[in-house]
Amino acid sequence: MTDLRPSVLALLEQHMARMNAESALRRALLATGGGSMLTADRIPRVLDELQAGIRMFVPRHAQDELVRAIRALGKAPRHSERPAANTRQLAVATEDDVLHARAAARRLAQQISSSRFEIQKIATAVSELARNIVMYASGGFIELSVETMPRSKLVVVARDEGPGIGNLDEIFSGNYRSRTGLGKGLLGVKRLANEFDITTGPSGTRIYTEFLV
Amino acid sequence: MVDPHEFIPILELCEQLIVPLQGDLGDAQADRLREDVLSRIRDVGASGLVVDVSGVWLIDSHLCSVLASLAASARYMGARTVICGLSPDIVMTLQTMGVELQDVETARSLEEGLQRVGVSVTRRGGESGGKLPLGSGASAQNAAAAPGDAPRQKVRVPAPKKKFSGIPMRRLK
Repeated sequence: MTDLRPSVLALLEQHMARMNAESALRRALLATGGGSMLTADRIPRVLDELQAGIRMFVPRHAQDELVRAIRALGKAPRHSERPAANTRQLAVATEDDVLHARAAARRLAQQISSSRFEIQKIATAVSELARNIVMYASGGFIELSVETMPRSKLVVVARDEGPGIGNLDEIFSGNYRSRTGLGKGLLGVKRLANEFDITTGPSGTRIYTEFLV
Repeated sequence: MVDPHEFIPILELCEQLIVPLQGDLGDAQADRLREDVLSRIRDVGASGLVVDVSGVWLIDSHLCSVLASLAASARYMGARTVICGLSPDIVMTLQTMGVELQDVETARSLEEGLQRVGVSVTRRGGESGGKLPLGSGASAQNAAAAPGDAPRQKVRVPAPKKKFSGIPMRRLK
């Protein structure tokens, strides 16, 4: 059985300081008994105990997302949630890294798709995500992976430990007019991708996207 | 990947400027390009700038704003910017994203871009009996000037190879 503590901590830390995440989790584990290892079957009860801490520390709009993500850890892992063995992780911190990441995305997409438009969409989305990381988060990662079940798709995950994106509703309403490119690029990615999931808070951001090929 | 020492050439044709972009355009390069373009506009007295992006394989929202910014700077100096060479994949991607090339004109080919800034290209008669094989350029000398076009200057150049100009594009507003 895997110990899911690191995974739960990682999720919590996207929204709260590490210290708070650790103590909240520790308290929840103590309250539910059964030792310090957090196995999948304990997740539902531990999650109940965590709710109070989540409500206290996590911004309102992110709470449901976070609870769902933790609950999902307790289920049989969905194929798309588990990092695939063939995941390519690219560190992104400079403009050159943006160029490198999008070229890598293009090469990967070319291996699994023969549609030039699809390849272009994927590479452009990676360019947008990577650039946002460089400009607003001073560093992060782009993870590329290919999945074939249930459908053939390219998964792109962008992660950073930046200050988070505060006004998602405004950005996704399409009315966002800004001097900076963040909102425009982000909405663009959402429109390009078949699946788009974002978790963001003061300690970082995670953007999960899928592109069907 | 982007060598900051690689400069981007600015070509002159009939006192208009042509900038052929290749590969990726880094921020440092873009800044330098803008400086160079503005200096050349001043030195040459150019009223038009055609930016050919057919050598650029990816245009994201950032590059769009860089190009828009270049056009805005050129406009301050009284020059009109036309972008040509956008591939269908790039156009469709930008449209899907909802990204706009703000206040920047686009043209479907280098020839049309040049036309917009007042340069029309004719082919010397001879091999094919004076027939002009290309699309919009061919009728340039016979077409009525559209309002807003600069006064035409004719340039005689050897006929370029026929180029498939792809999908007709609306101007991206």
